[in-house]
Amino acid sequence: MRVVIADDSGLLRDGLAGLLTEAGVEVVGKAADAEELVGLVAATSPDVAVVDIRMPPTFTHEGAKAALELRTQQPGLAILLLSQSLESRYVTDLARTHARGFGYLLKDRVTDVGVLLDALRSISDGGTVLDPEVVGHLLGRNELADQLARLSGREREVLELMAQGLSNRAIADRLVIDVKTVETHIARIMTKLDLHQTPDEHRRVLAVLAWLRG
Amino acid sequence: MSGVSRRRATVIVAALLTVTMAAGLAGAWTDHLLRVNGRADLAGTSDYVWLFVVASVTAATVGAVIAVNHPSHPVGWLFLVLGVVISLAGPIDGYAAYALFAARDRPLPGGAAAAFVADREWMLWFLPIALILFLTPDGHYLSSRWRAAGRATVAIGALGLLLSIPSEQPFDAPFQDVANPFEVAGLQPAADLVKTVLVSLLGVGLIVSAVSLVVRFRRSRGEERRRMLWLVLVVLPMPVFVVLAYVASYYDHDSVTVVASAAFVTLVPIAAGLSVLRFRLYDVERIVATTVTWVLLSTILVAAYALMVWLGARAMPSGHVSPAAGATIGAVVAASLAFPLRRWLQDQADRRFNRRAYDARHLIGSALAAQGAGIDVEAVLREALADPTLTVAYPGGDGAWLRADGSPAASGVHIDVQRHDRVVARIGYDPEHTDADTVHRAAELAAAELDNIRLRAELAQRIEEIDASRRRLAAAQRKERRRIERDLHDGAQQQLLALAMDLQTARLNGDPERMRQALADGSDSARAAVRDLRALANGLHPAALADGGLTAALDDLARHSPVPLRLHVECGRLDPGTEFTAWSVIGEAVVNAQKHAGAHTIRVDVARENGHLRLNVCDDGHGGANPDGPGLRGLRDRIETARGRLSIVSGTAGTTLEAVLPCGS
Repeated sequence: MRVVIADDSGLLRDGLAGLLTEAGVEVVGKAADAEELVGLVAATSPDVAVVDIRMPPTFTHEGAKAALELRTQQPGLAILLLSQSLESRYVTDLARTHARGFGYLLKDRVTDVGVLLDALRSISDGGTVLDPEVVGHLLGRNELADQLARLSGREREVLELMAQGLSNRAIADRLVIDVKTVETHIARIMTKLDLHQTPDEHRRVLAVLAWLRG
Repeated sequence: MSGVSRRRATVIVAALLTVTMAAGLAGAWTDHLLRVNGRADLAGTSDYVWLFVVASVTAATVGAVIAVNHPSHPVGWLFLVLGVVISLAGPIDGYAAYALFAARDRPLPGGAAAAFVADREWMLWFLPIALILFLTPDGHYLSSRWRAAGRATVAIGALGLLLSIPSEQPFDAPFQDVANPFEVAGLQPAADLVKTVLVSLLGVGLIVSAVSLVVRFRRSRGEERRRMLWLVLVVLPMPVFVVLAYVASYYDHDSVTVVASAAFVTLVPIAAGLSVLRFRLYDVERIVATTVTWVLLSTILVAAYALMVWLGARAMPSGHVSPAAGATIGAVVAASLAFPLRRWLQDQADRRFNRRAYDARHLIGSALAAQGAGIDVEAVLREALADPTLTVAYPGGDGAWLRADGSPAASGVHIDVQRHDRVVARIGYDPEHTDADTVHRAAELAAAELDNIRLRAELAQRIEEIDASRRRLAAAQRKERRRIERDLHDGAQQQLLALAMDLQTARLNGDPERMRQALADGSDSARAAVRDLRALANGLHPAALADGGLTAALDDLARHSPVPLRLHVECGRLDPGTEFTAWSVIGEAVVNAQKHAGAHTIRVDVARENGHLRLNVCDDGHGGANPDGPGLRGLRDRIETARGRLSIVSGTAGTTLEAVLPCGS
């Protein structure tokens, strides 16, 4: 897997590059701002761009905008957005419009190399990954309390992992249960929440997110 | 006299007044000479000389006032001329008498000529009077026809005077035996006849001038009509006066002539003065009402007092009660009656004699009673005083006067309304519509409401200031939080994230040497992150401040300051809030001096006095601090929030910032 990294902090850029290299991921370039990133992607055609949402000069959403812009030129490019503080609403909206090959993680999550590699793999396969904090935030909203109360504790756990973008297999591994059991839980959740069953795991994330965002 | 400047007019008026006064004094002097020379019978040609003194003084005074205020108005100058001419009659008459009958080596030169002038001069009086009546109140003739009448009157008067020069007719007493020095025997009696006709015509001219005024009065409306009323009242009986004077003169009833003409000559200036200077009619009404009030009040109070004393004397058998006790009771009764009685009497008198003020007061009273708070006082006063231009303004900051809607009040004729010894409002009015006293009395009724409005406005302004300050504080706080967030984001957070990644990398690598190196580097980064955090925390609230108070925190500040700080801190421990405010104010002032003023040394004095903490930060930089800039504004807000005061002096050399904070005893 070929990866480029874009972050305005040199310290983090180097740290992340070192970590990924050590984990066996090929880091083909590093960029300090959005402009540099665009040039880098054009030159190296990576599989994944790991991009800090906020970058100079205004420190709003330059990184994210540049990355999504790149995708219109390279549809196969997967994007993993990083941020230091939670940007739940912004990334949920992005995930709903750009679900394919899209991921978002908090920077402190990245220090868990297992989570980082899972996410990279998932999005380069065209999947969607959302940081558990985002999903927790969406699930924690008051308006959903009544409907979520209909779910059992286990079903709620499964829903949370579905929303993060995990496959049935990954959910089964995470919860240490049988895949068949996961499928049963999912079927029940879909019925309870009145969602359409879909065999496509990727489209399922979208449905769940749409439901969560209301 | 058009185009005469006020200044020049004042000089001319002063000169004419001086002539009048000098003539009066000369008259007194000739009288004195006649008396010491045994001819007291000739002193003052009649018993009615005082009437002429009054006439002359009145005419000159009214003329002077008008001429100075309206230099281009002819009436003022005509009155002055009248005053001079009348006053000259005295000394000329006196000199003729002295020169012909009293002087030791008589006759003195010019005695006969003086007697001649004295005999004829009175004709001159009637010319200015006729012109005054033709030209009052606006200084112009009513029409060209009236102008012709006016000019004819003047021509007739002049011609009559001219023809009387060679007349053989004997002079009036006491000069009946004196021969006219200008007598031309041959011209008689034809000239005499013409002269008599002309003098009669002069009388007709006078009457015509009076008619002109009456016509004017009949054509005028409203305010102008009221202004002319007084003069018309004086002028209406004029034909009678004139006829009387001529008849009396014919039959040699001197005293009648004198009284008739003098009364006329005195009353015309007064009435015309009222008219020209636009004294308002109801000003006179007010004077009448006030006079009636006070006369009645004194009468009733004296009666009450007397009654008490009398009752006291009657009720008690004599000897049991001292007259002083009766008097005391009487005084108490009278005093306690005085105030309510005055109000009642004033009201009653106004009702009859000064209806306008009465109506105004009642309108305001009922408006206040009906609506109470929130009333539009300006509108009520406008209606009550019939002045649509009336404005009410309230004291704003910096001596400015603001109207209720916050707009600045125009300067103009105004009165100040006082309540509890402070000016609560200023009422601007148009003197054409109303007068100061009426406005004052109307405003007194509304003073409480005006004061309320002023207080509300003041409060609203204060709240607005506090609001603005609070908004600025909140903005500053938001900015400060963002700065802290950025500091954390760029500093310790990044360091710690990088540290976590480096350690992960080393663990993945698994090589023991690599891991040892990573641990060594990692502990360095962790220490650096802690240092960053401590600096940041110190900036938020220095540990030294909590630990050792302001003295310790300022010592710390001085230790780390790139510019030498000279500290004189004399305050023990204070409450934490005050310590923090003082520290942040001094800290910011010091940073400003370092960053913006290019100071070489900074002196910081902190002293505690009378429950206040006085902070003084003085630098030797290039000054030019802007007290309204965002930095110092924020500082001021912070100090004012702590109920303190800030003053800043920043010239070209150095800046001195002084803050006073309350700090308990």
